[in-house]
Amino acid sequence: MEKKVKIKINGKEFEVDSEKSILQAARENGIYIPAICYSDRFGAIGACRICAVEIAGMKKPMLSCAAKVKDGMEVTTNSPALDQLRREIIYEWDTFHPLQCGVCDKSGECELQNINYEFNITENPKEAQTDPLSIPQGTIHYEWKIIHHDANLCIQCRRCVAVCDKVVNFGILALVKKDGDRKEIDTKDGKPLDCEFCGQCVSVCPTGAMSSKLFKYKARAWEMEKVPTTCGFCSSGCQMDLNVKNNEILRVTSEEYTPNMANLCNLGRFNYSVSKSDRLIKDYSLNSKTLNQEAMLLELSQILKNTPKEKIFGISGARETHEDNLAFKMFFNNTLSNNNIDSLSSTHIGKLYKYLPQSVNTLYDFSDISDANLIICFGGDIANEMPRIDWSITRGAKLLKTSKVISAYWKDTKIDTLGSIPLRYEPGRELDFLTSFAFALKSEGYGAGLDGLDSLTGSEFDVSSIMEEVKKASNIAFIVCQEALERSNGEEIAKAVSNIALLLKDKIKVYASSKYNNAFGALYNNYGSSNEFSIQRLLEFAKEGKIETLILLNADLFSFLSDNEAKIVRDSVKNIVLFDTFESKTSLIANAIVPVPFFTSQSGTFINAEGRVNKINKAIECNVPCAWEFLFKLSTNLGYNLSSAKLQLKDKKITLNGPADKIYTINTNSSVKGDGEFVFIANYSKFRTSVYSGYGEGAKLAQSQSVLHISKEDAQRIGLNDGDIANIEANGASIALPVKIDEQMPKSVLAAQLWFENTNPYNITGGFNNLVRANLTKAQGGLK
Amino acid sequence: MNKTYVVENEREVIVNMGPQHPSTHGVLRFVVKLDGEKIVESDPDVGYLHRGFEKFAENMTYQQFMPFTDRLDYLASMNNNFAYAMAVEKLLGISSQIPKRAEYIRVIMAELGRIASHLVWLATHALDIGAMTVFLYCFREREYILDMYEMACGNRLTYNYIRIGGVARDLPDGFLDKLKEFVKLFPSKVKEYHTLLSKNRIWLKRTKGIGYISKQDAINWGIAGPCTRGSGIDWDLRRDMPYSVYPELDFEIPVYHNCDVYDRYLVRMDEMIQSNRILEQCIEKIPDGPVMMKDSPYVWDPKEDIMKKNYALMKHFVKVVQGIKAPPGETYFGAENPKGELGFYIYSNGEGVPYRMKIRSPSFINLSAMPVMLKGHYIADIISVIGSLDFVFGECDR
Amino acid sequence: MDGQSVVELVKGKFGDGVLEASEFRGEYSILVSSNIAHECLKYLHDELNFEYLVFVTAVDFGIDAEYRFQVVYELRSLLHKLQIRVKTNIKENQDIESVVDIYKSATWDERETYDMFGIIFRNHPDLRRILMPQDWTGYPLRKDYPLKGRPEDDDWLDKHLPLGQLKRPRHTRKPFSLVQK
Repeated sequence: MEKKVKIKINGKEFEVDSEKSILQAARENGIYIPAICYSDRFGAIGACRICAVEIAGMKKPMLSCAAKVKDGMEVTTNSPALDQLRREIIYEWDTFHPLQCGVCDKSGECELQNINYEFNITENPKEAQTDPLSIPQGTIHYEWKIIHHDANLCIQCRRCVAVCDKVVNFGILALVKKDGDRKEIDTKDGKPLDCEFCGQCVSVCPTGAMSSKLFKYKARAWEMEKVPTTCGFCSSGCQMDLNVKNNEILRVTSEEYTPNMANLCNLGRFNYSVSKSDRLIKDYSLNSKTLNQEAMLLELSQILKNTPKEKIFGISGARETHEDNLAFKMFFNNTLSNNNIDSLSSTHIGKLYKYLPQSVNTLYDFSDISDANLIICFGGDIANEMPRIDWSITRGAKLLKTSKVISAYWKDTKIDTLGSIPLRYEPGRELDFLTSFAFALKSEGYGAGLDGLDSLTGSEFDVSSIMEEVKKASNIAFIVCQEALERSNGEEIAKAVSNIALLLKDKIKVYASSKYNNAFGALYNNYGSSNEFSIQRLLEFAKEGKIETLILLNADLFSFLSDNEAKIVRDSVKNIVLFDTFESKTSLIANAIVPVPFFTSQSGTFINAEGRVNKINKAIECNVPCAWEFLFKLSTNLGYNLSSAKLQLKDKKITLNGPADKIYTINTNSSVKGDGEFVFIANYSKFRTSVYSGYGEGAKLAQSQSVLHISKEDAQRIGLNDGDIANIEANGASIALPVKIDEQMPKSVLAAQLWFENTNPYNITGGFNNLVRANLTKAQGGLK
Repeated sequence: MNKTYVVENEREVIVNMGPQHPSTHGVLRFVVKLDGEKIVESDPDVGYLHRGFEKFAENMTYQQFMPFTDRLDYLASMNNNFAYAMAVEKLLGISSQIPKRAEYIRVIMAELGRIASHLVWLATHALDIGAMTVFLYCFREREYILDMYEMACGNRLTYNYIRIGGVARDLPDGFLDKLKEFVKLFPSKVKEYHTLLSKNRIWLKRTKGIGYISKQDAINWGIAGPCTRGSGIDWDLRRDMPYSVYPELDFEIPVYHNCDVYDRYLVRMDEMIQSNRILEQCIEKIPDGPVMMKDSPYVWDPKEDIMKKNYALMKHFVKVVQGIKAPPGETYFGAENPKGELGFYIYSNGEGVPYRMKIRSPSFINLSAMPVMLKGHYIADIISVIGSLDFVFGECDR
Repeated sequence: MDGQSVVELVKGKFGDGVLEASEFRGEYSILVSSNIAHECLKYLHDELNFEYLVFVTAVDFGIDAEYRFQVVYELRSLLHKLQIRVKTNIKENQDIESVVDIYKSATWDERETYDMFGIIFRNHPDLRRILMPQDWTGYPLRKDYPLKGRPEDDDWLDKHLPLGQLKRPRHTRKPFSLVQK
């Protein structure tokens, strides 16, 4: 329980939490203290010293960002002495700051400019020290990717260091010594920046020292219109502002008052150029013939009229807006009166929420993760799947120090650097961990009185190291990663997770990660509720000839099936109708293509993994209508009028339906498919959430192709070096990938990332599976 | 939008004048209901020049709005600049810190503007009534003033010369000499106008007793400027709610009591002489010194500093891009302009732009009282009343 | 007589009706409740010699404000060479008594305020639009009125723009500001 203390600020008495710093207390009560380096995102740094205040009884001014409030404290935030002190600091900064505002991207929103204005600096006693027109001496990092650093503009507030360390938990930046006694921000190892390229350092930099290369010299800050919207790359639902000028997105910013506290990842911040990709689909086309909208509507309704209704099937990519998603569902349920429809969320979170009982399936805010005593991250590398959850964990464990972290995965990941308790299992042995954990919980007396408790059995997996923490914790965040759920035995994993959730019912909050931005919206719209058809049975249905027309809404067949499987679908289905924004392998084989606008060009809502209904706003013009409008017209042509009133979503936060409380019996008999020396895993890169996300500059520059992660030992044994091409063979198929030696990889395990254009890892794992035993050989003569 | 008039008997006619009519100064439309030739009712229809200045003002910084004020009363742009600068300075609380030289320059410009505006008024007023010659005389002198303006700021119509915190640049060499010459010459010119008009029988017939508005009505209808003084009200903001350096100057307020077009004519004629007196004194009294405030958070730094000193450059960016952060509060400032009281009501909430700005324009209010003045007169008198009210539509419609 | 004593007199006369009195840069303003605004102006006009109405206008505080509009009257006493501002808050659909019966100069000012803000003045002899065309929809000086174009124009452009030519996005852009919500 937080204690309240009374303090006096400028003679006025306030009651504030004892945990707060003076700066926080003052800001809460509307008292302004200037501060440059402080931000709630990463806490106090104490570098700028401008927030110094006078405290009664103290000789020297204290930094209000670092000093905690104490009972009876008397604080003065403004006095001639303080003003002088602050001015001295500004003089210092001004002395070395080059006269470059005219060409600096930050001009107009620069905090150094603001503070100069605020203090109305009219002289600088130190200005004689430097000639403002001399050539600056600091390093300019032209060689870094995406991010540009100019040390001359830096005022050494160390915000970038703090955000890189305490928010992103990457910690590549530091204030390092250069020749003489000069200090500069640089990478710790002095090599060119090689990081997550999230651009958080750009977003916090008060001056133009850290800037985005993609935005450089494109526009001035005040020329752009900020359109608030929701990021459409993963289901985090980060709030951001698209900065638009002349119908073009020039950069992406975010504000500190958003739920994501201005944090954005590489995709959100730098990948906006997807919206003007040359691979946007612009025309309606039928069998490679370009049509106008009316003709397309007529042709499509003819196709649909000629197909027996029960032979029309639909798959939603779970990437479209909630409105499109619901309209698609309505189109099938009402116009076509069938339920032959599923979405790609059924490949992962659909499994979990099918089994997760109603009593524990509430969707919680990510900010609750930071407040949890214990965070259990299971089944994937969350930093690659959803950076925002990773940052919430980092905030809890590193900044607020409220949370302990347990990481259950087959590999050491970034969150293990937070001092987590590592639980390592072999890939494919997820169930061992889950069942032992459930069994251990049962043994500790959790879940007493639940039916079917006896059916829980343990395994030899040792979870004793974490049980103490679990018992102590009153508030547990349990994060289930997409990688685990995408396994072929994902349903069993989902059941096992449900058991654990139920056992820890009173103190657990379950989160699931998804790379599909509207996956939770698709669940909310009851996709996957059909008893007959599910996405996993697509191939089976196609082979049996049950599908005559297949409608894909933003679903790229090659992003969840192997090339062969996609070909089978193509060959056995008469008509493939594709609603999509971007050209893909699927658009090459589809009969009819209906363009739909990218999320930056339409208004609507996305539902994120917190269950929040987030608005998206149209930022750039585009001359194709939303999918729902097209579907409504199509439906009218087919003789059924859909009502757009139903598309309106009034709730701010959604809840999902779930089954009654039940302990599931788990079938642990699963072995990894195939045979081979290595275990191959298809997992995720933080730079892709789909194939089309690679069409943008930010993601492409950060990672251009899928690479094969391999342990050092294995690489040496086979004679592979970084950059060599390796062939991976399984299931009679093979893929070739460049090698990257990863010291954290366990022995005999290989991993490659999905959704890159250079390869499709599903070719060897098969669709709806991401794990296979494979053989590895070094390719002769590079790629064919 | 016009009133719907009902014709009650066959003698009544409804006549539509304008919006394109040679004697409506600008785009004024007038709907009059006549009984024979007598005006029964009239309804001025304005808004043809509405450009939404108040909405503009809410969306731009204080400095950015200065050129817009040029386009209010475009016959006296300097006076508008002056009034707006004073209004913002009052809001910022820096009225007393404006350099003396700048204040004198502003007064010189404003009084020259008053003379120039009155000259145009006299020229067109006489032209409308039928005296062609006056027009040529007046424009001759006005040209002289415009030349002086051009010397000072390079423009002849929209000056954008006065700044918040001072004036844009100092007077050029030779300006004061030229002004001296003008001041010496001008009273004799005014005499010339008098000889042309004041005792002219046609002029007297067309103006005496026309457009009557009583003292009480004039106050109640909010009429401002020379028109009030022609109705016997002794009121001039320069003297009664003094601003700038007017308290240091000696001038009289001409007042006439017959409340008609002729008296309003006399007021303006006398005002030109008084303005001339003010100019004379300004030439004597103008001190040396800076023409722009320095080191104020509300005023732009000099260009030389911006080019050489990074703090000045940085501040300049903030001031230009985000606007000067005026303290929250509301002020009204009215200045005595040639047409009457031009006032700016500014509601600031502490941001770089005014939250609301109302422009109290004399033309608008004066025009609203026109139906009162016209009642019972002949249709031809509309022309002389319009002339005597001296409105400009840039200001009326904003 | 000075501004302060006027404020005191008005306070004495109307008591609770005066909600707030303030002074800024030597100008006195009083905020009165809307039901006594007319009475208050009449009192100032008849008994305190505030015979000159400088202007009437309104300020829009946005849809979320409890009282959306503030109607502002600036009064002047030629005798005392004094100005005072009377303000009153009204809700969006609330109308207010016209002061034309006291000050004729309010005739056009109130028409303009109606035209720009949509505030209805009761008992105004001739309340109609003045600056905008009579068939105009919307009230331009309201804060929610778009800065560029009207909604109708969008529909019009949709029909009349040549094929393939894009409309420029409609802005409600303000000058650049760092002030956060």
